[in-house]
Amino acid sequence: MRTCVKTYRENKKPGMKVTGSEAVLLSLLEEGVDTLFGYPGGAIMPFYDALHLNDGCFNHVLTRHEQGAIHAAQGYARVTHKTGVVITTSGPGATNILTGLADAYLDSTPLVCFTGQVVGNLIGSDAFQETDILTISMAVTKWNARVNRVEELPELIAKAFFIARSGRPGPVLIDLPKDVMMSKMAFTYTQVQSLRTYEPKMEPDPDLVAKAAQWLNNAQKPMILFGQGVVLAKAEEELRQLVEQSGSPAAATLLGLSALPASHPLYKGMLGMHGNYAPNMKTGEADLILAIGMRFDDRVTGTVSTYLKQARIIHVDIDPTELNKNKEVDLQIEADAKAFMQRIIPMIQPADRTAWSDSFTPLYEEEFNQVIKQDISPRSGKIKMGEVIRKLSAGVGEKAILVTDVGQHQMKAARYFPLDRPRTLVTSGGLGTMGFGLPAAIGAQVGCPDSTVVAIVGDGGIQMTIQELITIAQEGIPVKVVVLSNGYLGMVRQWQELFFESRYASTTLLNPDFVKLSEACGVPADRVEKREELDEKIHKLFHTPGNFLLEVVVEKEENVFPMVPPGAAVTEMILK
Amino acid sequence: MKKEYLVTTLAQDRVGLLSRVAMVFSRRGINIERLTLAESAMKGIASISMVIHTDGRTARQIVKQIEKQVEVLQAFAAERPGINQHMEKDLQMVTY
Repeated sequence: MRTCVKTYRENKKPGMKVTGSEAVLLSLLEEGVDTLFGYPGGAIMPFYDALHLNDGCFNHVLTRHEQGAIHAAQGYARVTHKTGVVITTSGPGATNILTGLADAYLDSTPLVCFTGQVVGNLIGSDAFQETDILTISMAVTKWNARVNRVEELPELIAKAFFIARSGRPGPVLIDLPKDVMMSKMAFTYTQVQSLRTYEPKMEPDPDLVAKAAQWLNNAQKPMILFGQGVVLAKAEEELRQLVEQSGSPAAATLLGLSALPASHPLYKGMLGMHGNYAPNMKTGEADLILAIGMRFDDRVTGTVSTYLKQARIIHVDIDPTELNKNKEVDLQIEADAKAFMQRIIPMIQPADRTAWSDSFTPLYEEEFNQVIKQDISPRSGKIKMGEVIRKLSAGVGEKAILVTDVGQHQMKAARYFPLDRPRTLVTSGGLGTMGFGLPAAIGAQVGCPDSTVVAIVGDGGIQMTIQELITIAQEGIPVKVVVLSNGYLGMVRQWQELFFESRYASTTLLNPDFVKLSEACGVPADRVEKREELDEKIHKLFHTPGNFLLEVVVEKEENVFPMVPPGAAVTEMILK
Repeated sequence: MKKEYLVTTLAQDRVGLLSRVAMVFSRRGINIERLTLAESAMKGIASISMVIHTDGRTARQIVKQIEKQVEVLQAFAAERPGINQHMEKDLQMVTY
């Protein structure tokens, strides 16, 4: 049996004769990859054969759908800072990862996806399971390439990993024709550190940093808005220093959550449509906005023409296309979030902005009294999503990672599951992909085996990728799945109620018996409908060894508030 | 207000380059009215010129989104008429 990985590990001799498939494995080894998410099929079989012959050298998670594989790789990448690796076959295997590619592209997640392809001389002939995945995926990949000759393999893979993880990270796709995988080559690998036409600008222009520092020092009411750019740059500590040094209140985008501990006194909550009242309203009062590693998404800005009218805006982002894209700003700084903050922190004069920071409190109290209190500690009626999430966050213990799907439960989880440790939230932000949560939780758990991964999903979203329950069972992944079940596509129903005169068009769900279904897959499960039993069932969820699914039947027509109505300014946020 | 722009891209030539650049326009529903593609004076670097109609803000965003493509060295847009004072990047003179 040929075990090229062991041979290569023992004697890293350049020019070792290997097949294309083996060259892929060795390249992955060189990039430090030990985990793959994938699904075999005709065109990718040579790769899987090589993987099998090198059994034990890589951990391969076999999902039940390629979409599951790519979302799992996203979850893995988001919690580990590593590049997620996906393997699929050609044709449908390749097209099934498109949603994940689009999601990773919008949410800046580093992935390298390998798709099998029909043999070279059949490409273009509509061969069995042939699809032009390069053209199809062009709009949702940072870069893609086909390996036409086996000799190009190591260089293209090295390039793929460099592009995926550098600058603003993103997904890259490499198309592998079957004959290339079966051809022989002399393997030598060199990691790529730079490309002639692609040089992400890490360091900010010093003059711009000085100007930004001056503006911040002179501001009376500054606010720092931060996004996932801070997390991707591993700049959580710098953010804390900058916030404390300047005394500036700070608020997060959805994907920025966990970059600053939720318990930090200057952390004022989440921005955007279903974010917190105080930070949204106060953006209409701030005299300086320092936005770091965020992109002024329309869910954050509300109507952009009235957004931040009164403030001077500094926007720092590593991706220059984001600067002046959605919001025209006064100072654009193209830089890595960490590099920028390291440069600006020494220039910030310590300031006491307590009065400004304290002025957020009455607005928080208003939100608490009108919304939060009823959400997290209702006295009567059916179980509410918010109270479940609060109890989950209280019961999960210290090493929690929160994974969500998309919809009402996602917003409730973002609001009521406080995150104090960095990189502890995995959610689909930009694309809003229902079905993301369950497979992403698999990847997060594989990436952080010592953490307790809680996947909070809706009854709609889980049904989009529910087949991954059997993956959880087969791989023995100890993820805790909580289905918040209201029998509706809740967020769409909420919009129908508020903006379409309660015409509930196609949003009512007949659900399977989630408990039986989960048990049929080998994942123990339980259901809770009564508030009195909630604590006990959550205790069971966390104290049953291994994986567990808990269905919580919640109030059917609960809404997520506060809310910035579509077409309104964020300062017109409503509390009910 | 929509005006005529000459968008020029200098990029490493490879399979799919034209698609990647054209995608930035088609995504926004912008028609490419004229196009030339040729190797530039620098070996391996292609020069793509496209004439489009759009507004200034969109033209600026398009330039950035083209430059975001990994193979692209540089892109710029010149407005007609009075090209020189409207050059996005004052690196090249364009006769048009």
